[in-house]
Order: sequence, then structure tokens, then C-alpha cells
Amino acid sequence: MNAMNKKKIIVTGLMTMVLLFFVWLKKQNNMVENDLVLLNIEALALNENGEYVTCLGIGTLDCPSLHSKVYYIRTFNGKK
Amino acid sequence: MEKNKSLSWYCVVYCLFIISIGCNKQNVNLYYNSFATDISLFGKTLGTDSVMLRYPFRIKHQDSLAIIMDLHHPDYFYHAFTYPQFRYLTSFGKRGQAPEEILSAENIRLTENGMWGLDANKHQITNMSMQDIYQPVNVKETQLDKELIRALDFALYDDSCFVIPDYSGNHRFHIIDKNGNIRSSHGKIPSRKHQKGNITLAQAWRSFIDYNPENHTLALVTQLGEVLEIYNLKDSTHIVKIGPYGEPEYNESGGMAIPSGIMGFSDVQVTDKYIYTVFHGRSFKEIAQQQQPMTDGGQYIYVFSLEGDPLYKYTLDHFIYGIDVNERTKEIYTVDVNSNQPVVKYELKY
Repeated sequence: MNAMNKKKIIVTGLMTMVLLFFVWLKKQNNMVENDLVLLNIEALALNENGEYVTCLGIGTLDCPSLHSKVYYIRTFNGKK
Repeated sequence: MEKNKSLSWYCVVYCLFIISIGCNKQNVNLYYNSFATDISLFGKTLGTDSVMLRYPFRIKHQDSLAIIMDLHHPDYFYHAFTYPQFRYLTSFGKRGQAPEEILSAENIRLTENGMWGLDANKHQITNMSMQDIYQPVNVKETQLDKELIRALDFALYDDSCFVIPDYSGNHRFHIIDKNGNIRSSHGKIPSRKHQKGNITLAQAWRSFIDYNPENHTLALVTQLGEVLEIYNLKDSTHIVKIGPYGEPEYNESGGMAIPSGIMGFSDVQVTDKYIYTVFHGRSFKEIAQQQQPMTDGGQYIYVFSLEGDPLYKYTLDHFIYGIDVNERTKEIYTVDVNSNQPVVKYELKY
């Protein structure tokens, strides 16, 4: 086997590995399953910024604090 | 020399092949600015005097039965009518905390096998038999997986499974099995401004969905902003279409998404031929400044092809929320929350 054929085989082998790597990357699933995440989510529903979240009227917006459907959602600073 | 040249060409072709794998059909982001056809439609109001509806949000039909789901009715969420005459029959789906009552109805689906309803606050989907319309019976209550956190819409995937939008921000939607467990999770929020998916982003990207098993097409439309997504659940293609108002805008406060920007879509229906949507386009600034009586709803029906091409823009003479398309008769039945006679019928012009 001459040097050129050997070179072709090496290059082909390397490129095949690169191709397989890209295929493996695409199949990755990044779903996170973690009860701790859910606990943190419940904590975040409470306003930590000193702001009041007000949900007004009846409508179709899902009020994140009341879990009811409202017309308008706004925040205001509690100091005002 | 000749052999070196052939090797170089070989490398070039191979690199192009690698690049083509990265550029597959799965994420085609396209903007739309206008529709091929712009038509004004004038509706015919159908009388529904026998029942007072407070906030008719959804309207669906199956054979000769129509159901209107009222989001804020004090007593019952569901109201049955004959179709297409809309003669009132009965109301059911009692609001309440008792075992067979409903806390927060989000959407309904009608099939030959009865009716399905999603209760977001009870975190369950209920299947009801409609054989005796005056006495619907709860056949099955499916408690949903806690990892869904909050289910704000659903579609029927097949005889026993559902599609539910994601609320965590980690995905776009889930396939749920007959026991309410997550069978698989798919996609990501296609935000160009926010790379990290979290609950706040998911709240802002809250979407209404519909799935047609005949053509395997799942459509999602954002309640805020103007984004349509189309997933083909058979060949895994994904199309994103962003309208002139762009992606959902919001402010974050304490981990919650506070809507800003515009109110976007409020309903979507995937037929065998098209995707029909209801679009509002009113800014929250305008909504906040509105004088009494306030007008609520969208004045536009946008029709897209199954590939997301913007085809028809219908401008209506009513402000509506939900639609029920009948392509066979070329009619759309809609519900207008601003009127005491909320059912309005439009004749489609293609």
C-alpha cells in the first residue's frame, strides 16, 4: 500500500469520526428532571423584589400569583 | 500532484456534506410581513338568548353538537348547543372545588368518543361521555405529571395521549400518556433575545396549540407577540414564523413574566389544508388606557399554509376569541365576549 492510499485511509477515518460526533451531538436530549428545580420554581412565584404584582379584571392572561385568568397584569413598587 | 488535487477535492466535498447535515429542515426561522390576500368579513350574529354567557372563550363542534366554554361563568364552564343552528341545550361542568367540579377550565376537545376538558388548577384532564347531553358523565380523570408544573392548553395526540405545552422553559411541548405521565419532551423556546429557558420565559411564550393527527401537524401560537410554530410530529420538521410584532415581550418581576408589548394570538385550529389563527395585535399600553366599556378580543383571522406561508388575512367586524372552522361548509363560527349574543358566523372567502 503506497503512502497516498494510507493518507486517504487516515483522512477518511478522521472525517468519519467527525461525522459520527456531529450525529451524536444532534441526538442529545437536555431534559432536566430535578425535584429541586420544582421547589425553586415555587419559591420564585413569590415576589422577591419588593414589588407587588397586581392582576386586574377578567380576561385570558394567566395571573402567575393567583392562577386565575385576568385582563391586565402590572407591577408597582410597594413604597409608592 | 494529480493525486493531491483529488484528495483536496475529496476534503472539500466532505466538508460541504458536513455543513449540509447542520443545515437541515429542523429550524427554519422566517419572518412574515404581509398576507397574499386581505379580505374584510361581515358576520351574522346567531341568537343564544336562552343562556347568558359571561366570557365565551372557546367554541367547538362535533357532528350536530357544539360546546362553548365560558372562562368566567359563575356556575358552569360548558354550554351545549345544536350545531349549526346553535339552539341552546344545557349547561354542565360546574365550577367548584368538589371532586367532580372544575376549578379552572382551559380548553375542550370534542371527538366521537366524547369531550375532553383541561382543568389547569386541578392539574387534570377529564373525559366526559356525551351520549346523554343532559347528563354528561365523567368517564375518566387523568391526573397530570407534576413535572408539567402547569398545563394551560392541550390537544389530543391520539386515542389516549395528549400534547401539552411546556411551562418550565426547558422544552416547548410534551407528549403525555394515558396515565398523565410525560412520555417525551420536545423542542425549545425559539427566542432570539433570551437564550436561557426558564419558567419566566415560558410564561411569556405561553402558547395556544392545536394538533391534527391526519397530517401530523402541531401548531403553537403565542399569546404575547406574534409567533407561529409548526411541528410535524411525523418527520420532526420545525418551522418558526415571526410576524411584524415580533417575539413576546415581557418584564421580569420576582421570577414572573409581566406582559408588555402586545396581546398576540388567542386561538389556533389546524385543518387538513390550513392553519387558522385569531390575532389581536393590541398593545398592553393601549389596553391599560382603554376607557369603559372595554373592547376585548381580536379582530383578525390569519390563515397560514401547513408550511407556515401567510395566505389570508381576514379583518372582522367583531372582536373575537375562539373559532371553530368548518371547511366543508366554508364557515367559521366565532365567539365575541363583548356581546350578549356572542356567537358570530362568518363565511370564508378563499
